[in-house]
Amino acid sequence: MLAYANGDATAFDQLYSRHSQPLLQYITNSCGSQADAQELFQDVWMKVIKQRDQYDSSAPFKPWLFTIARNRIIDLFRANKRRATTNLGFDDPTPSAGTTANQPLEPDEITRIMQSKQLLMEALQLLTPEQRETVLLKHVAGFSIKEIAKLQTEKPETVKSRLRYAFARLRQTLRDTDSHE
Amino acid sequence: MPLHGYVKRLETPIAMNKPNNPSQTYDDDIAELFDAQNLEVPAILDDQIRSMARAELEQESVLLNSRPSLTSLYAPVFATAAVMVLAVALVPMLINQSDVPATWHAPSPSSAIEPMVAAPEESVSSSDMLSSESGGLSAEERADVAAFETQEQEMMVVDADVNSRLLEAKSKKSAATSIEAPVTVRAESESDREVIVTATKGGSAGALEEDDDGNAGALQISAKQAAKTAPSEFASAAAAVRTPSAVSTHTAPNSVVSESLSIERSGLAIEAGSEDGFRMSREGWLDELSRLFKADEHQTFLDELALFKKQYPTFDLSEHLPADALKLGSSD
Repeated sequence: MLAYANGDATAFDQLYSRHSQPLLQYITNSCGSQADAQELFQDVWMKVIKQRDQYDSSAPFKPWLFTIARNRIIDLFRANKRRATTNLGFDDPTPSAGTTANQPLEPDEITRIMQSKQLLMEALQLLTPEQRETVLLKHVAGFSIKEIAKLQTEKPETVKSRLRYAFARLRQTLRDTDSHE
Repeated sequence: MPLHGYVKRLETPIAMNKPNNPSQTYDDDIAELFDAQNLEVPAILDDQIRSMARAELEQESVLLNSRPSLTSLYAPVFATAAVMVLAVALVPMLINQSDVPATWHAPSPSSAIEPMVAAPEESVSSSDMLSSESGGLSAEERADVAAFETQEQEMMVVDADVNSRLLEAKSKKSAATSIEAPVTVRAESESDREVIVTATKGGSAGALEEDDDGNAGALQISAKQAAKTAPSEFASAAAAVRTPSAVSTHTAPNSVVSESLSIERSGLAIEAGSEDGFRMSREGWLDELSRLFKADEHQTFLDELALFKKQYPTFDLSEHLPADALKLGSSD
């Protein structure tokens, strides 16, 4: 990023090639809409380009990039007032879900779920924004628990808790959908 | 039974986070789903973002090249500042030249005068300086320089004339003020020479005194002597002068006073009521002695010469006065 800020156009190509796919996946799963996601994706990169002089070279690029994306997504949610309305109580520390909710998905279940590209995205939309964001930062962006806690300005234990309930909720939703189909 | 039921309830939470395969972690199934999602950036969007990044860099480089340098950007500021500095420095000098305050004294007359006296001999004409410095002037510029030099010479002639008139006024005024009140007339020409002459009431003074710097001669002219040299018509004007302040503001129907006032307006200052009397620089005093001798005012010349010798007993006059004048002085 520093090289790009100093006028090296090829440095931007390298950065873009490395981070564009996970960023688009993060944004798409956050928004639940590919059209909104592509617009946001472009906005985020434009902001990176415009704010290249403000980049702190002492910090890694990826957290900076995903912080920009996260802020844009929060702005979008605030503008559209599109918060998840279906909260099934998975933030409850004593979930009443059945025993299968926390069991990992079986390989045949995974294969069936993967056949429908929209299924995972729809299941993610049923999570709270905080849970969804935590799952995406962990599995799409590839951040560690500590890095996510820093991004969300939360304690690592809070992040772990969100992940645990988010996984249980996702598995239950995906299993329910799979069994219906 | 109760124990069996307790153990059975415990199995569920323990099994919650235990993966089926020991090599798996608790969220590998979710990670596999995300890996299989396979979301690709559209090629159009890809190209658009990359081209925007390049365009931004090119625009920046163009702006950098077209941006004016700091020197040219701040040139008007520098020019304004320079003009202001010059104005601040020059205005007080011009004010001092045209209107010398009554309390102003030359810092060191003798040390300051000698280089100034020698300056015309050593000086090079401005046209020579300009031609040597600038490597040649156009005909028009040379004409301007020549006109300037001519004007400067005329001003010097006028200055000399003013000096002589001042000295006349001094002698006349000393006669007038000796009758009524001590009056100090200080005259300063453009060459920064200071001439101060004092006539004291009653004419008792006649001693020469050193000034604070010990350089310039101070001359106190006897009122009686001054009265001798003053024209007869000045007596009536002098009678009208009652106080020292009256002298400086007096507009008596007297040609001498009006002449003095006109001299004052033309850049020469007249101060009335100074306690240390009229003081004259040594160079100015020598000029005055020469003038008195040439004007055949021998008695005044001798009086002045005696005072001068009293003030400067070891000074060699032979280089400054003609032989006849020295002879007259010695015979007396």
